[in-house]
Amino acid sequence: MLEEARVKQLKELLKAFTKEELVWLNGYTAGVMCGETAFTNDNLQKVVSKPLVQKITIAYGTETGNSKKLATEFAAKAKKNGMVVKLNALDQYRLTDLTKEEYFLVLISTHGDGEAPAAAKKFYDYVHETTTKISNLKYSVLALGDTSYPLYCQTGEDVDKQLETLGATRIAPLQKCDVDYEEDANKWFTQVLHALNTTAHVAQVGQIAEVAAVVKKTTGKKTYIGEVITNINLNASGSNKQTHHIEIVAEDLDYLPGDSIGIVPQNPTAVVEEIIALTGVDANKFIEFKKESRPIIDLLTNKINIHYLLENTIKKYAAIIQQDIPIVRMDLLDLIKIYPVKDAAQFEEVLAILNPIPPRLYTISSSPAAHSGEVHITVVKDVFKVNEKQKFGLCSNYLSYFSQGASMSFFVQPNKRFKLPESFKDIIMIGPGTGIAPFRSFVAERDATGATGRNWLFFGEEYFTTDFLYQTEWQNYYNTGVLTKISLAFSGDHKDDLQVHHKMLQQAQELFEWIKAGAYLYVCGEKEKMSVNVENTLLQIIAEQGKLSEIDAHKFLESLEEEGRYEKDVY
Amino acid sequence: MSDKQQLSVIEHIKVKSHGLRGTLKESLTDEITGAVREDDHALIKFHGMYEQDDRDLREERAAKKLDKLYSFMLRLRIPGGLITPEQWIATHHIAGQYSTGVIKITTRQTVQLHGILKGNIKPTLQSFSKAALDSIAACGDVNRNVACASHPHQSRIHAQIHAYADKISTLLLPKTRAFYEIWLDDEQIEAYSEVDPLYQDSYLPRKFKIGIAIPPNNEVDVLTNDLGLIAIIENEELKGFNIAIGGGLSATHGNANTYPRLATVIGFTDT
Repeated sequence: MLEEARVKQLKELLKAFTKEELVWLNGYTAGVMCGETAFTNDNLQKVVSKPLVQKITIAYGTETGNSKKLATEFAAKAKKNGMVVKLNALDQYRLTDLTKEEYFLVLISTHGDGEAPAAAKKFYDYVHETTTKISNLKYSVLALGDTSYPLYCQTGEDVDKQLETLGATRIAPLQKCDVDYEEDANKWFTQVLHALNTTAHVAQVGQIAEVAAVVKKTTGKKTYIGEVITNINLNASGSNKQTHHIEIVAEDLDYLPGDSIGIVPQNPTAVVEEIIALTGVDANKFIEFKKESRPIIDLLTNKINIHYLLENTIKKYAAIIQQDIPIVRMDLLDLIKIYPVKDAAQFEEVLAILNPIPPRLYTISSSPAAHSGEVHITVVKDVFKVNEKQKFGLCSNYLSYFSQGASMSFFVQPNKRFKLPESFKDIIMIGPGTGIAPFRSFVAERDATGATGRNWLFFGEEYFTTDFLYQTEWQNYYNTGVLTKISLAFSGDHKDDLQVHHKMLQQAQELFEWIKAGAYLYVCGEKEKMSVNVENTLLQIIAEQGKLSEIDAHKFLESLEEEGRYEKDVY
Repeated sequence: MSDKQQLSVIEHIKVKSHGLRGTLKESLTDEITGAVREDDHALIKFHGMYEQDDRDLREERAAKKLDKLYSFMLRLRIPGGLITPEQWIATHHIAGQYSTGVIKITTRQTVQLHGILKGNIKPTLQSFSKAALDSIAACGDVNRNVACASHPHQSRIHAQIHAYADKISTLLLPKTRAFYEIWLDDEQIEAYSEVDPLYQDSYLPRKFKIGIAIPPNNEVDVLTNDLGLIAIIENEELKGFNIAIGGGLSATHGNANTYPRLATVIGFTDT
């Protein structure tokens, strides 16, 4: 779009900026584009930090699906009104989040004899049992019921009363609805919207002050000590996979969608203990490793890689114990079992030649705007066989056992290229398997910031019923219009091993139209097969749809790459 | 039906459905969910299916951010419960391939399969079609599977009377081609031009059941049907049927206007 000379000029200029400054600049230019002309130094800060939208959470507890239907409708309506909406089923709502909410709308039905619907039972019990005050919460309740039952809308009444008892402020009175709920429900929501619009002004002023008070963050690789608050296996029973969704809270988190976190896994205690027993080494003896003096057990657990040693390391090991050893990669434990060390002293020599545990990088699946103060990762447990023996990938196995409340240390690894474009640009995301991670972050961020660009997701896994990672979240994004399109490939459900690139080809025409209209393409996930198939398919689509030769199709894709419109995060 | 205000939601869905088509085709292409669209819940019954979900898994799946495990129950239309050995074997294979593998035989002499995923409905119905079986009107507000004294080989009369079950079933099928278009990929009829003088566009307010008994046996429990036909046989000749109306076992909980009742015999008709 720009002349070469101008691009050069711009690049030179941008070099001098820090990341934070570039983020700021991004907002600034967006502001300029909006047509606001006279910027002065005084109002620059405001332009960048003023939230254009207000955040609300809509939660529903449904028995027959009516409250879900209404909640989804209202969420879409609120989004159209420029609000940022978190839509949650109460059975999926994290109860501890209640203290963090500001505007909270509950749509809840009453089951049979005045009981909460099964899907809202946990929430209902929680608000009745907790003693934590939620005085920041502003709420309103819509109760669905049936007048033919004596305890009509009892659950809604209870929740409405209990939230008040817990210190929350009611912004619109409880609305009860009978089986013909549409009219009353709409009336309630209009009232709620009105209440939100009249309080919005105050909230925005408060938020500006908050943003202005944020201290400039330091750059560099900082180690965070976070606390695991959730660790769930996303795959249903019967799946061949075990994909863990792990949520970690940490203070002063600083990352952008597309970034990764690095984690140094611990070696399994049982293995470390066996090594110590076999070698007879004193577990508590301090020795020096990479200029750090620590007890051997600590080093073997937290610092030294004992897993799948490099060929070079095996060579060095052979030299120390003075034996002929076939140079193949293997674990330290297996090595000392087959080719034992002479004594503890010799083992200490071995320790010195070993390498530190390398950190594993996981693309972040949360969004700073949607999941404030948290970082989420999506980790598939790596299961493989060595000599008929089942083995697990060290880090994925290590992570799968983290329980709620455990602390985890990690650092943020920025990925400068894999970044969301300006908010009005369209994006196409191709992320089968755990390649979904950055796209959960992207879409959550775009949802939370009210980005207007279209979003198209390609996802693939083995089975629809057990392996559709974050299915209900995608459904909410889709039903509220944030996710424009979703194309799915479940290989196990199809005789012909359906993959994401097949789905791309099926929609070649539309895909090419998106690209022509300026869409940004992102690919994340497995490198060897998936990303190659996806790239070849892209080239095929460009050639066929754009009526280009093979060479020109390559050039086309290269130019996308140069414009930063084709980015890969593959591994 | 002048007072449309009084009609239930389902009645409006039926009338708007373009001959039971609704948005079923679109529902099948919704990849993001295993369910059909809301209004299609009512319509898919007319095609012989119910949408169900595994209640025991709801909580676990919700925690895993997975939607409910939806699947479909499919009921065949088998007038008088008569199928050939070849059809039975086909049913056996189809059940193994696309359902839980369990074949349930119902009190109305037909067969039910459970646990069919949305994406497997079409292959299931296409396989059944190859075996000359279908599920048209097996559920829904129409005439249901016609029950009939079940052994046509018992006597000449049995075979003759069983043919009535088949004839009635065919006669009372909805005229819409929707089943063939949606599930068997038949070409779509322009502007949905079929006329259905019997069912019109609203079909029946509820299901309708017909049973045929051949005395002295009453295996179809003839007086529990909306319409019961009792064969009158003299000198091994079928003379006609005694007709009984108004039987039924259903009652809506808490609604005193609904109650089970035996059918009343109102007269005789000759063949």
